[in-house]
Amino acid sequence: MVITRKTKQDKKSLEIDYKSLSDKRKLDNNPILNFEPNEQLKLLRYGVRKFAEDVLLPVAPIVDRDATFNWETARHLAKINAWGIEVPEKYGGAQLDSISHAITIEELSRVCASTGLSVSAHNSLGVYPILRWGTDEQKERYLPALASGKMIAGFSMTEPNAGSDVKKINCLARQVGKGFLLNGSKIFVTNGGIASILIVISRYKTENGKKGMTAFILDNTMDGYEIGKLEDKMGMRGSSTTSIYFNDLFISQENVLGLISDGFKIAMNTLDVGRIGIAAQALGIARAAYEHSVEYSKRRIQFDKPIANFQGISFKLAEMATKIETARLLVYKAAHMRNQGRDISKEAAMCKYYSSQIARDITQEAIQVHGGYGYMKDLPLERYYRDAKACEIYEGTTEIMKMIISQQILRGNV
Amino acid sequence: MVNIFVLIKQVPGTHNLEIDKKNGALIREGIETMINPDDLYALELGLKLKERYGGNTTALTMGPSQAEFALRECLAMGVDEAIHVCDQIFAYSDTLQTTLVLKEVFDKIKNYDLIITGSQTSDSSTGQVPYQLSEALDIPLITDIFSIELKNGFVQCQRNFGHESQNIQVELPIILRVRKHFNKPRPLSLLGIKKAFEKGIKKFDFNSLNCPDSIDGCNKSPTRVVKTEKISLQRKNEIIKGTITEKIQKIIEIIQEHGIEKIWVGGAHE
Amino acid sequence: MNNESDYKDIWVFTEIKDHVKVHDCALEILGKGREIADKLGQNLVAVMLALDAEQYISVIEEHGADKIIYMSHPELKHYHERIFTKIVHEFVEEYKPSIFLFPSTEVGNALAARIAYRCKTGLVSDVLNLELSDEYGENLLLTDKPAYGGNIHVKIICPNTRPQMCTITMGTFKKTLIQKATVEIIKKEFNHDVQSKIKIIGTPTRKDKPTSTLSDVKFVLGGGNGLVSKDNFNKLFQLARLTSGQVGGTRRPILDGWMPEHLQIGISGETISSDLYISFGISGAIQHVVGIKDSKTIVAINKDPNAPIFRVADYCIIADAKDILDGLLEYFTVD
Repeated sequence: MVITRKTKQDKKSLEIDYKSLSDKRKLDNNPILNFEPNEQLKLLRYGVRKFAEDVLLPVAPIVDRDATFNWETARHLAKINAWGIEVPEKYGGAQLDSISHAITIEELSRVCASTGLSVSAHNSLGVYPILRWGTDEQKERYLPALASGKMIAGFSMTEPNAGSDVKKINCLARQVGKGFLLNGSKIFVTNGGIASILIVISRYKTENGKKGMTAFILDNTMDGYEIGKLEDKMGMRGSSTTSIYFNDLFISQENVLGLISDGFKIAMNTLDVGRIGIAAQALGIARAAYEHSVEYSKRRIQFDKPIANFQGISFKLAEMATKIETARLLVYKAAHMRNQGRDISKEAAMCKYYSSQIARDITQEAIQVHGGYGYMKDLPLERYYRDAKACEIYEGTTEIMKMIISQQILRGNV
Repeated sequence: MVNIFVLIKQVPGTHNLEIDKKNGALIREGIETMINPDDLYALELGLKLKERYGGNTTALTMGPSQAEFALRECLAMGVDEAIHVCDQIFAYSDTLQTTLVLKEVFDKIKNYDLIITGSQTSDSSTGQVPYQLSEALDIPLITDIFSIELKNGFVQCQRNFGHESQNIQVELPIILRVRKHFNKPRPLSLLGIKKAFEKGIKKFDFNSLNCPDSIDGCNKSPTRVVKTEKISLQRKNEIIKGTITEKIQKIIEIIQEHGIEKIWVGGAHE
Repeated sequence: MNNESDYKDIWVFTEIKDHVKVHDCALEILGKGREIADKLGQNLVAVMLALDAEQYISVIEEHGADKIIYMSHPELKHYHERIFTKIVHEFVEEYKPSIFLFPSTEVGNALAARIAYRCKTGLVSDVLNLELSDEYGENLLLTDKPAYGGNIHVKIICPNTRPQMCTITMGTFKKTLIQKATVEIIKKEFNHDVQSKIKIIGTPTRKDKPTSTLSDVKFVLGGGNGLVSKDNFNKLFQLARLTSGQVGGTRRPILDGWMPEHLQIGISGETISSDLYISFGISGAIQHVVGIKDSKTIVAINKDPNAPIFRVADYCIIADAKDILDGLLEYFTVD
């Protein structure tokens, strides 16, 4: 180790360095670490925010109250390519990268988390596996309809007895001739009631006795596909969550995604990608609660001064801002690593765990900042809290995230 | 093929501007910018006309270097090209100087059929440029239209003019000034945003336009802003206290002060 | 640049409204013009182009003009940009006014902008105040106009070119009756043949009433989701009928199907400038507030004392909007 003594000369050169770094253009070109989003990302954030404030803001409380998915909103989302964020242009998508994807979900969720969830589940859990493992024929068949929002996609793995413990999946597809007969049931399926296409993770058993886990692309028009009742959830109420039942549902070979034995790999990898989406969502909700709190505490007068002037409140704001900044760095870093095609299990789990936790913290504290008003349904704060809570649970609970992170660390990915 | 130009301006994105107490100028640092809201209706009309009749759409702005961002937004909406008129010497141009520069621009472009503008800018709210450009280029200006059709070399439109609603026919080129809420401007699509950065932006400056010496925004603008003040809305903010009945009584008094009385509505005795 | 000392007199473009009367705004400006003319010791000149223009002279005289320059011809019945611009520009060239004031109307703004371009002079539009000031040069016209949505006022001068021009918003000044002992009347002959590039097809239809209802109503009742139900919202319509007011509202009641789309007030709807605006259960998001801030009196009813709407209201009533609505209905219902 080399210890350098700080001399006056050193200090001066440091200052010069700092000054030249603060020159914006130089910072943009700094190849080592760059926190400045480029113009395209800025315009993307601006565009999606404007869209969300225009289209989602008025319907957000209504879809929450009525627990309905708004198809009119879905059509508007189609106009901005929100159903095909990463889908190649030749299939009608926007063919954007993972960071753009995360920003889109973040900005939508900031205004309406339910919509953010529907869009995120569609893109990262429904469309992504087809993009990654689908055959050309499968891509031709599904992507144009999915990217244009004519069809909405979902993903289902969870079963009554197989939540975090994926190995306990009971759904079974028996090979019969050239296809499979699927039986079983799935629960808590995000987009369950609205999805035309569902990626289903199931066990399989071939005629010669081979077993394993596989992924199917199912169409809700198939015989034996039955949608269960709409779940009455605490939050994310504008997003449709249902059970799905499969009764002797016949699946031909062309609906198998990837190799027949790829199921587990597809599931794990897809969830990694999905977690960045959930983290972006949580980040969006946290920002909404935080922005409301800043605004409110500046104008709410008690004891003759704005409550923001009380340390009890201002420290809350400082904590919120710091947590959001941290979460944001984790989310964008995970997205950046995905752009580079690297393994993201650890980073995806970290950003999902952290963002959803701070979203719950911040939305809860935001209610506290608003006092009694925050507790009333007239303001959206209580909705943010209910919505944020979901982020700690679905696509892997916080506890599972910590398991993944620790396994990675102990395996040597320190 | 019609050559459509839409004039846009980048404006501050907030109504809560603050003034620098030291020099009395508006603080623009850190203020988000946006396309002047009225210009979006002009852009939408330009895009619609192109979709219906073919042709080429160009967004054009005159402004500082950061106005390029506004042009990217236009490209993201779907215009084919963007032109940025930018030069230090154009800074602080008032409407007359702006018009004189735009005249040079269009004299250079030559091949223009339709120049579309919004009704007003949200920052300076003068609304003069369309009229002055009509004088400068000696082409008609049509305002307040509610329908438009392009035919071989001319447009046919319905417009409000004074207290009349007229069907008019006019030969191209013309300037069209679109009123607020004339249409619903499209949102930016993700694909559009990406494509916007794959296109180039054409730049015009003082030299490339061969501007005459009469153009000098800072020194030759006839009008000069000498003072800027922030006005807070002078509302009474009087809180009416008392029981619900007293509050209702107070509102009734306010209503009556404004000359509104109980009126007889037929059929109340059904 | 023109030689300032060659330019004198204060001109007012006395617009004729719908070929029936002198525009009120023009008469208001004559009052202010009189004041400035007296201070400068110069003449106040009214400029008028009309069909049968003689009928309007007496009204203009009563409002303080020293001189009237006019032209009367059937071609001048309607505003025509090429003819009007050409004639008025010729007047300016001939008489060289120092100050030229226009009403801020469709015609006033259009004509002023064109004349300013031809004279290569400055124009300030929608002025809210004007005065003579020596602060930046002798007897310069100092105009005050709103910008940035009205939150900022800027003061503007036009130091080196003449005439100094501006358009003035209706209601800025008061009409004053001052009859000068002698009024010089100059009639100009119409001998213009300007071909229009705009061809009118068929017969134009008269539209006396503008189609928009909200933008020029004197009393507007605004409703938001604080009214909670469609039944309550219907009561708002009922109260509007009883008071000859007009209902408007935020986006939310439209989405809930309580109110038709065209009644929306705000950024994506109408901007109102009513004498009285009462909001029932509206929290006051900026999207809405932008649309109401030109109202003369604003009464806000909301049960949340921190609702942003109270910051822009003259009278703040902290109460449940539906209780207030019931009380008002009871009063206004004729029995």
